[in-house]
Amino acid sequence: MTEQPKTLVELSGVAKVYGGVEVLHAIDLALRDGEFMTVLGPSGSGKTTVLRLIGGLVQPTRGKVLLDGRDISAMPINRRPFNTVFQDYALFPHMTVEANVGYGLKVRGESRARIRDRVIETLRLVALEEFAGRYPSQLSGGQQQRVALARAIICEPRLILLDEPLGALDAELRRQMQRFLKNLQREIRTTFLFVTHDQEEAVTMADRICVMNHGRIEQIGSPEEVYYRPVNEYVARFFGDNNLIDVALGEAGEEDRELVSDVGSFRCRLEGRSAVGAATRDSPGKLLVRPEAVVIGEAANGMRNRMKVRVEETGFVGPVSQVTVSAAAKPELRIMVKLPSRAGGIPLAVGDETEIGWSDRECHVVTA
Amino acid sequence: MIRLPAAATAVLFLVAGFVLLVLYGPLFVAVFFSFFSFENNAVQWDSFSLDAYWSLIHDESIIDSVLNSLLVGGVAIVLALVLGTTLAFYYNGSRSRFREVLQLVIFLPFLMPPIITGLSLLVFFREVDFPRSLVTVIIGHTVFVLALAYRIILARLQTLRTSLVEASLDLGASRWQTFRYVLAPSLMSAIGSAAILAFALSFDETLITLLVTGTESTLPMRLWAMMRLGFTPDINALVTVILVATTVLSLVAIRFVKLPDQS
Repeated sequence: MTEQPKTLVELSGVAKVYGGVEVLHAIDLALRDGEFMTVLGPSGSGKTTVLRLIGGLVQPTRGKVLLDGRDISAMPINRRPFNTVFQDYALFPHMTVEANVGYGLKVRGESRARIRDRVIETLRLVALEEFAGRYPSQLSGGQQQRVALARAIICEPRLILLDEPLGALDAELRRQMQRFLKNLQREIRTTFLFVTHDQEEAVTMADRICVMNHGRIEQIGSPEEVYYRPVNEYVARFFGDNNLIDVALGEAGEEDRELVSDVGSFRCRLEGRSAVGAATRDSPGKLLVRPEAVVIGEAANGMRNRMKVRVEETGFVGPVSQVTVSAAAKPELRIMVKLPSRAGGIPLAVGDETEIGWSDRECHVVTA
Repeated sequence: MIRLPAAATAVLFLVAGFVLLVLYGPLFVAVFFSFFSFENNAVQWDSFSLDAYWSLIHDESIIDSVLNSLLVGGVAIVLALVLGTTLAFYYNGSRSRFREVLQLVIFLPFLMPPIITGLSLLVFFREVDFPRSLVTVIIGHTVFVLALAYRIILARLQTLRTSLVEASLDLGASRWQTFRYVLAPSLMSAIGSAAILAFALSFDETLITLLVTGTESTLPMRLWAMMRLGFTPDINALVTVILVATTVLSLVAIRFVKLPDQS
């Protein structure tokens, strides 16, 4: 990508106060044209408020919402070229699927013939053309979900807002819908803003993830960035399992940095945008090592970073086996190791003294 | 489904049968005597006739009172529904303290003994020098049935998901279009049952009517007047007609309420 994609929607210093409580603290967020962004956070993090602010369901207390650089903060919801897929789908119960999907065109005063054509076309896109005459109550959850989606995309919005749309579906259907949504988004080339509290969902679907917590944005980045280069401990713990070791920053080498801990000193190459950039010598931080980046036993020999450990627990979890070890120098420090499972099982027993290691590329540091 | 022992079922059947007999027995007696006459302490089995009905439709004062009742009921429910819907929307959408006061004002005439409501209206109409007529009766009935219409519509409105309104606006509909296409259809069954119940209430309302009417009389007032002159077969015939009409109305109401409510 040589040129920067243009910004479609921007939140500039947007804060929202509900009944005296500030649920959103002056956030800045730029949504690029054509991207699939997920807003991820626990309940109460303000993620739904972000969606409702952009959609126009609520007005910002401070700050501006911009579309193509123009302030649309005061634009009423029914004028904004965005459509929402609601968490409960919000299908009109007294209308057929066809009438539901055609609603957005009907209220714009399109001709009946054109509405009919477009509805059929759109229902085909979500594989529901046979259900046009049904009522929402006669459809399964996944089908209702697709009707809600069809109803939104038929209006050809600049942006589709999805408010935890997969929350009510079972695991298998969820995965199907995730793939479906992703493909659909590529096909219709529309910007998607997808709100979820499920980090796995966010990682598999998004071009970029916006991680929120307590009404603030913690980090915005690609799934790889937030996974491998979190900006703080919160994000580091939010995505999957992570090993965190307290360290003090030591001498900076030419391409790596020394990190001093209770269990020895390590070296780590710090790449990309790292929170450690501005930190000075001796400031405390945390070394992050993903469990799947840690090797155990003989394999640790060639590694830059090594630690003597004792095996505390082993477990088989399908494709990976999980081993928990404690540092020999500091038994309360537990490290989790994930190994690819092999038919013979892992050659380790609880109580074994061995060594673990990890490459100086497979680690990351956040400052406290 | 809970299965009851046979003995319990039998007892329940007996109790239910007894209650139905006590409730509906007198009605059937009235229906019976609208066709047969009772003389010399015995039912005259050979006296079957439709004379009572015949004289009923030739009694202009009765026809007038029926028309008055229909007119009062019809206008009162239209007014009550329009006011009730508007007020229900206001209550549901507002956060002001005033809405609780307003709700109390709506409920009071319904909760107070009708004689108090009727007297208050009477005193009011006299004080402002408003001539008593069917118009005052209509006002009285509207005030009386408004609480019912308001309550039924509000109950439905409160169960409507706000996301439906949000979705409609989100899809580009105006407020009016949202009301027209989304809210009104969802409220239709509530409005229908409110109309029928309000009409039933208005149809047999006697006390308030008695106090605020001018020279016109409604059907219950007419019945009351007829009974003072003695118990004639005409009264039985009238009761039968009202019974049939009410039953038909109730059946319609049940159909209305049972409309597939796919929410």
